[in-house]
Amino acid sequence: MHKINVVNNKIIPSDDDSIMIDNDSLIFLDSGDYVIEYIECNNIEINFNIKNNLCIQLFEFSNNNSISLKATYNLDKSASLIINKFYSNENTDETVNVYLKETKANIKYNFSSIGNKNDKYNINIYHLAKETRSDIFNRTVARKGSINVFDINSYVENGVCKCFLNQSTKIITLGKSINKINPNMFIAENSTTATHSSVIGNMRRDELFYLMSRGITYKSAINLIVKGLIISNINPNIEMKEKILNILEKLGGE
Amino acid sequence: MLKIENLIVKANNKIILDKFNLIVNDGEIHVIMGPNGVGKSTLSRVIMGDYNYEVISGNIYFNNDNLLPLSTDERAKKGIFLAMQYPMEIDGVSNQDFLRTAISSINNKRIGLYDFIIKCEKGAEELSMDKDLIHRSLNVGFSGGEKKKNEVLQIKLLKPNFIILDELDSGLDIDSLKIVGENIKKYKDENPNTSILIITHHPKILEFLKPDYVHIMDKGRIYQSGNYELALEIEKFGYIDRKNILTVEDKNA
Repeated sequence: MHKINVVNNKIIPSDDDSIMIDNDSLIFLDSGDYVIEYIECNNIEINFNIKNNLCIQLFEFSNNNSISLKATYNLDKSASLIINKFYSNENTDETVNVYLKETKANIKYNFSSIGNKNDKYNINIYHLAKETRSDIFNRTVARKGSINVFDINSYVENGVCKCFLNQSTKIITLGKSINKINPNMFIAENSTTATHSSVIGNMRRDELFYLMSRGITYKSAINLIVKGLIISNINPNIEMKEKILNILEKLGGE
Repeated sequence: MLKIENLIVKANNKIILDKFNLIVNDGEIHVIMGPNGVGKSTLSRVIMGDYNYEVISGNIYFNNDNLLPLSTDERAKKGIFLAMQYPMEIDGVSNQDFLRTAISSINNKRIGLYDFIIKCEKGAEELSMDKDLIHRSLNVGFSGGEKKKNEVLQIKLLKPNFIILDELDSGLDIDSLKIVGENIKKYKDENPNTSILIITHHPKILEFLKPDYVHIMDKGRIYQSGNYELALEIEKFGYIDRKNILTVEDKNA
């Protein structure tokens, strides 16, 4: 696993020769697992470049930041990117641009977050070449009083054949909160396959009843469901899982 | 063990249980039968403390403790287990995490991982369950039979002393029914003081779990009680024909 820290809005250079850092850009030179942690960041622009045939699994983590982030992912021919991402920020204003630039480039974007105060996500996926694929999964637990907005836009121009687009966003509310999901798919090509689902809702009482009927307390039942929603989406390694569980532990019973 | 007195229960402004009475002593097996919509499943969920049902009056005692003020998890901790007709699917919550949390909650002590795995694997093997199901999301993508086996696995792990089986036989093929029936019988043989309340339409499961009492429900209460023969009679004549026979016999008498 390769670790990259972004501290005070700057990418910290490392000796790792599988990544090249060029100002705000990260160029991946080898396939593999990478972890990026944003530490005390508030305003950052970062580009990720994945060359032909590389297979990158990227875990992004941000906790307690009040952050404005612009992340751009450029994928070349047959490049494969799996992003697993967890945020529990004070505030987030994030724009994600994904450019599937060449044939068979594909991205799986798994994002889980705790909505603490005010989080806004603008996710744009541009299918610029044929047979490209995007799977976007957002899972958010909205705390009481929080605002969570997702604008998700997928684009396929006419003539860009046989693309696959999927968007799935789910927000579970732990109290009164403002939540919006705007899923858009701008498709001008008939051969495209597209699916999407968006759900905003409370914790299901039937689920709580089932768990409690096995002796699990109300607080633990909520913890289990929240943990399930967040963790199962992003498949963190042991170190990251421990960090995330510590954050989730504080939510129980809200 | 369980004593229900004059229980009146309402849901959606409709009385579902109407002055319902039942006593189940230690070690007894009781069966409740009746057509759809007479309140059988409501009874099971009210015993377990489902917030969807409003208890208007009456009492439920379990080992002389009043159950009604207790939350669902507190009732489970007293040893009551409801095997549900439609076990919930909860996406993301792993079966393993759920089972381990449940065992730890019931026993008030965190179960060690090794101990848990051994118990789980043994239970799953006895139920001819695919071990992979332990690692999947709770009941998600499980077949009807796998869901019911997962309920019985929970019985084995949580070791309740009062088990409610709400139409456990629905959705089970004949082989799975045999496995499930034999496993519950084994549990009962190993824990003879455990009481079982079976809610069913079909007496097939009673071939494994011979009941001490069979009750027929209608309009929110028990209108007839008998033994195993009564269940066989119901299977032969059905509820409507049998009611007509009873009415004619009553008139002749």
